[in-house]
Amino acid sequence: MLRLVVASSLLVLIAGCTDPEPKEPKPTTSAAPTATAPTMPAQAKENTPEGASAFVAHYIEVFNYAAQTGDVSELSQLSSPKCDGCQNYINLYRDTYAEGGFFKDSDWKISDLDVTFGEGRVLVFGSVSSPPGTYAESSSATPQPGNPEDSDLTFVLTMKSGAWTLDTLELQAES
Amino acid sequence: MIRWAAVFLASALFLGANYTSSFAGVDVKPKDARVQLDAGREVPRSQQTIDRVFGTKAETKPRPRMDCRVDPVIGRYGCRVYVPSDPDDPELTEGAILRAVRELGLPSLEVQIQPGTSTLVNVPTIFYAEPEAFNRSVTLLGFDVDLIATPVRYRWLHGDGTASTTSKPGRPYPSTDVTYRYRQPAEAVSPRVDVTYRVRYRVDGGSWNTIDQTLLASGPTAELEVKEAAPVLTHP
Repeated sequence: MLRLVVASSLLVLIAGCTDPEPKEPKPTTSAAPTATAPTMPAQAKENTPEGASAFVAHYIEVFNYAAQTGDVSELSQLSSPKCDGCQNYINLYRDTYAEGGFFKDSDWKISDLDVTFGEGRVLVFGSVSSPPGTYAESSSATPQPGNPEDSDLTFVLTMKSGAWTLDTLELQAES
Repeated sequence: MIRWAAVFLASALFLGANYTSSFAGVDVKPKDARVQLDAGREVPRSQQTIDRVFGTKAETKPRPRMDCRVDPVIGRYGCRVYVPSDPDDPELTEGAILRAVRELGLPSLEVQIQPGTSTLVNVPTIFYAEPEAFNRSVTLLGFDVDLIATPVRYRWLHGDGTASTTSKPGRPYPSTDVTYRYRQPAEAVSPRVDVTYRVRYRVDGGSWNTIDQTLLASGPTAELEVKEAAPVLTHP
């Protein structure tokens, strides 16, 4: 009996080691065209420098999702109506997809962030880069390569009713 | 396409002539940040931008800036305070200190010759210099800077196209630290000594630092006649 128990324990152990069941892949935040908008990480709701950084990173993911799908609802939620830079991109993505166009493989990547934290307001300096990707202006337009992105950006965030909003999205002046 | 062209045109107008020319010949794409973001409001990454965002009033001291990075394993951001080098703040460099020393003027040394204004061929002529201490305190870009310049090399130019270098300034007769034998008589040669100084400095009473680059001070030329010693028989 004892031998049987040992043998079955071993089996369990072996099974445990070579578990063929595929692991759930780590949730990735880059959205496929059919995916839903990225979920905001808990840290991005914190009223701290770390929280503001996580929010900017999340904003870029939602920005990429909007570029890939034309679904700008979440991007609009995170952007202040008075943020001109944000609204320019929201309009670009919405209108391009409405006309049957697209943006592909040109996801922005954000670098380490330079954060100045104030009460309810945060200034973030960061650089974005992206491969050129391809785009089409409309369903009838020929897809063409874009330009690679390599820009220094300024973000200003404000905390309103317990959530960050992007108030300003600007280019940094070349020094 | 017309809309994008209009956006680009508007951006180009904001950018002004300098930037417009940099776009010339570049194929601008609709997603480019330079097209979509209001380039007319470009702001520098500087203290002025921070002041603009937060306002300067009631600020007793500058807000700390933080360097925030994501931990690739846990996917959470961490921040640490850092002190940025502000391009608006003048920086005290060793180059600036050397410039200041040059402007103050390092002492040029007059070459001393023995036996005097004339010497003989094939006889050791003694050269020496009398170095001066160079200690100054100056204010540079708001810093108190103490300076000491010390001679480290003496280059003796004999005036006949030859030269020698020593680390000592030489001494007068009877010492023969630095000597030279002229081979040819000459009515007038113009010897001089060039001194190489090494500069040490300290800022606001801190520790002393030595600047690698040295400074040269050329001395004024002297007049020297080199005579031929002709043996003359005389009665004892």
